[in-house]
Amino acid sequence: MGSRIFTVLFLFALLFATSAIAADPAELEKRAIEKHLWTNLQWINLVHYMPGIFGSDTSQVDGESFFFAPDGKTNPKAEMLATIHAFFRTPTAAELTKPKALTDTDVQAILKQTMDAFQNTAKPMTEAEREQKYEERKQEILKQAPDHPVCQFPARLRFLKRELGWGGEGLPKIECFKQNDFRRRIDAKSVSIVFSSFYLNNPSSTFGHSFMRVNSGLWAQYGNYRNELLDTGVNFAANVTTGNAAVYALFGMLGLMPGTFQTVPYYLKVREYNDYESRDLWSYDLDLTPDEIEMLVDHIWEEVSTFYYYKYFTENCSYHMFTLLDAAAPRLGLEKRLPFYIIPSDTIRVLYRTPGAVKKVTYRPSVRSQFFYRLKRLNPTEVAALNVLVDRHDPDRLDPSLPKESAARVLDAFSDQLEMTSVKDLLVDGSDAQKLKQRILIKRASMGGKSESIEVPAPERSAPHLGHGMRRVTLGTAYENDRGPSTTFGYRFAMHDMLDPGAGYARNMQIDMFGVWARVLNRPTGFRNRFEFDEFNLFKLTALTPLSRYYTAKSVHAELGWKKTYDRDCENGDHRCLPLTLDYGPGWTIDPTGTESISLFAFLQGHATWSPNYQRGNFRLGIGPRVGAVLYLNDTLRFMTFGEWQARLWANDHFPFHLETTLRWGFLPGVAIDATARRERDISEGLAQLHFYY
Amino acid sequence: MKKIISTILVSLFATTLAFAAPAAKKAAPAPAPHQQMAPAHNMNHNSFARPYGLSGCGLGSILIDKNHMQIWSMTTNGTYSQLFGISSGTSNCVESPTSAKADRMDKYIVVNKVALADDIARGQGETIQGLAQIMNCQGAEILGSKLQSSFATIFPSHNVSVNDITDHIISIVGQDASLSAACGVTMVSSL
Repeated sequence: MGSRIFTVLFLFALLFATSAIAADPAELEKRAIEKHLWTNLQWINLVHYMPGIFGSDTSQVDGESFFFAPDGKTNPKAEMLATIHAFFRTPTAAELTKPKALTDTDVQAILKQTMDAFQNTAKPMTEAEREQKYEERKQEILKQAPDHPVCQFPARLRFLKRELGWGGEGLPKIECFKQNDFRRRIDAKSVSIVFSSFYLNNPSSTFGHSFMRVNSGLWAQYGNYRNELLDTGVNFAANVTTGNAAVYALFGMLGLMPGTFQTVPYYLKVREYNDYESRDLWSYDLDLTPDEIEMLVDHIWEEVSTFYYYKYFTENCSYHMFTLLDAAAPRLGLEKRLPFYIIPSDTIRVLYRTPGAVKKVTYRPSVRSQFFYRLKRLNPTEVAALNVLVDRHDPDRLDPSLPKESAARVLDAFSDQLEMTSVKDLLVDGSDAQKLKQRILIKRASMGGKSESIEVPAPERSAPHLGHGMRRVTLGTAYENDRGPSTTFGYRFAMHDMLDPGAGYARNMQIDMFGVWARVLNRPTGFRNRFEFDEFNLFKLTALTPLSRYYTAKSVHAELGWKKTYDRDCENGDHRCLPLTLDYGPGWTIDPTGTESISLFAFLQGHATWSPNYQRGNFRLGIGPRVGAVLYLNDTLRFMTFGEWQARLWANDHFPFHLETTLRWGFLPGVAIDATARRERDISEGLAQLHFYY
Repeated sequence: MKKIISTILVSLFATTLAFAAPAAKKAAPAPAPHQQMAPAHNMNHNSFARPYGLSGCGLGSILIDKNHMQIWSMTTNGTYSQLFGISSGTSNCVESPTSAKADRMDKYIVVNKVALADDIARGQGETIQGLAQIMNCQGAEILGSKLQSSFATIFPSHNVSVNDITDHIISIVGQDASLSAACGVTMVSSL
C-alpha cells in the first residue's frame, strides 16, 4: 500500500519535473532521441514516409514546405528534431498579426494588378516571364497570411505533446487565427468515407470515386435530424492542367500532375455527383475516437497546404484518403491492406473489412434513383397523368380531375424526371428545360401542401463493399471441332462484365480493362503443345440502357484490343489470327419485364481490324448487327447469348459471323464457373471455365 | 500555365463585367431606375449590397470548368484554400471572410439553386433546412410553407439571378413576424 502511494507520488513528481524541464527544445530533442520517437508509426504516417526500394524512408509528400529539415523528405529523425526547433522559432510580426481579412475587393484589386502587369508591358511577354510574374503575384497574396510552424502543423504538435508528455510550455505565444477558423467551420463530430458509384458516361470516373466527409455537429442546433449538406467534403484531386483526355490519362499514369487536398462544402459534392452525374453516394461512417477525429482535422489542415504528385492507378484520390486516416488512427493500418494498383471501390472493400473501421453504411440516392422511386409510388392513374406530361412537356396538360395530393405527386415526379434528363440544360440560362421547370414549379407551388419527404430505401445488394474483387483469374478447358482440346488461361485487371456476380454492381453494364486470355493447344503425343494468345484487351465497354419514355436511352458497345478470330482471310493454316480490333456501335435495349431481369439488345456495330497475317491488305472494315439477350436469373446465375454478323470491305470472306452463349454461376463468394458455346463460321468451340475474383 | 493565366483573365473579365453591371444596380438604395429594373412584384424589393457579382461561379461553371477550379491551390505552401472560396464557398467564387448573411446565402444558393427551387415548390426538403442553417434560423418550421407560398416572388422568372433569389428570400423572411425573429432578419427599409 505504502509503496503504491509512493509510486504515485513519484510519478506525479516526475510528471511535474519533466513538464517543467521540457519547456525547451533541447530537452524535448533529448527526450525524443531517448525514445526513438521518429520510429513511432504515427510520426511515420503524419509525414507520410514510405519504405523505399533500399529500405530507406521517403515521404510521399512532394511539397517542399512540408519539411523543416533539408533532408526531411528522407530522414524521419532529422525532420522530427527540426520540427521541434521550428515550433520554438520566434514568430515574425506577420505571423503574429491577425491576417487582414482578404476581402473580395482586395482579391479584385490583386487580380486587376496581375492583369495590368500582363497588359502594360510594351512588348508581349514570353510564357516564362508571364509565369514568373504570376508566381510573384501569388507570393504576394501568400505573404498576407503566413503561418508560424505551430499553426501550420497542429497534428505534429499534438503528437509531440502527447508522446513527450509535454504541455506545450515554452512555445511562442501565438494565436492561430486561420487554423482556429478552419476548425470552427468544420466543427468535426464524426467522419465518413463517401463512395460515388460508377458513372459510365464519364471515362475518368469509370472506377468510381471516393472522398471524405467530415460531419459537423452544427446541425444539432437546427432540428432533430441530420442535414449533411453543410458538412465538409475532403477531396484529393489532380490539378488538371490539360483539357485533353489522352494527355490527362498519360500524365495521370506517369504522375506528372500535382494533386492536392481540398475542403469543400458537402453540398457541392451532392450536387455534382447526385444531381449532375446521377451517381448514388454511399457513406461509410467511421468508428473513430474523438482524439482521432481531432488529429484528423489537424492533419487535414497540414495536408491542404501541400501537394503530392497524382498517380492515377497508385497514389490516387482513394489512396490518399487512406493515408490521411492512417495518420490520424495508425491502429487501422489501412494503407498496408491495399493492393499496389488501387481502384476506388477496392478501397471501400478493404475499409469495410478492416476491423474497427466502419460502424454504419448509409445511402444517398441520385436524382435518377429518386425519380424511379417516386414513379414506383404512383398509382396507375397518377402514372397515366405523368406520362401525358412527360410526352407533351407541358405541366398544363395535368389531368384536372386528379385530387390535389395526387396532382402534387405527379408534378414532383415530373420535375425530377426533367432534372434527370436535362440537368445540364437546367444550368443554362434561358434554356427550354429551365423554362419548363419554372412552369412546373410555379404550378406545384400554387397547389400548396408539403410534399411527403421521400426516403429512398438503400438498394442493399448494390452496396459497393459487397462487390466481387475486380481482378479476375481464369482457368479452363476448351474443345474446338477442328483443333481439339486446349487449356485456357486468363487475367483481367478490372472490373466487371454482365455475367460476373452482381452484388455491388449495377446491372446492364460491362467495363473490362486490361485483360489477357491465352491457351495451350493440347496436341497428341509426339506433337509439341502450342501456346497462343486469344485476346489482349485494352478495354471493353457495354452499357445496356433500356428504352424508356422517361429518359433518352443510349446503349453502346465498344472494345479495343487484339482479339483472336477464326477468319478465312487469315493466311495461317488454321485460319486464326490476332488482329488489332476496334469495335464501336450504338444500340437499343429493351427491358420487357421492367425489373432488369432480362435485357434484349441490338447494336449496329462497326468493326475495324488490322493484322499482318491477312491475305491481301492488312486492314478490314466491317459493319453489321450484334443482337442478343442477357438473363439475370439472380445475382449469381446469369445467362447471355448474342450473335454478330458483318459485311466487310477489302476481304475475301465478306460475311463472317459469330455466335456465343454463356451461362455463369457464382457458386461461392469470389468464385464462378461458366460454360460457353461459340460458333464462328464453320468452327465450333465449347468452353468450361473457372473464375477467381480478388 | 497558359491555361491558368487565361483562366484568370477570363474569370477576371467575367467578374469585372458582373461587377460593373450589378454594382450600379445594387449600390444605390432605391432610386427610380432601380425600381424599373427590379422584377415587378407587390412587395418592397430590397437589395442587399455585396461587393461582387456571382457571375461565373454557378454549379454549371464549376462542373464545366472543373479543370480550373483548383488554380489557386497549386502552390507548395499556400493556404489559398483559406484566402479563397475553396473551403467555405463555391470554388470559383471569391470568398469574403467578413461575409454577411446574404453573402453566405448567395454561395449556398448558387450551387443548390435547382434543388432549392424544387424543395421550395414542394414546401419542404433538405435544401430548405440547409438554408435555415445558413441563415441561422432557430426553429423555423414554417419556413418551408412560407417560401412555398411565395414561390413566384422568389423565382419570378426562369433565369432569376442568384443575388435576386437571396434578396427575395430575405425580404420574405423579414416581413414575416415570426420568421424574422427566428432567423434574426430585420428589415431596415420601410415602405
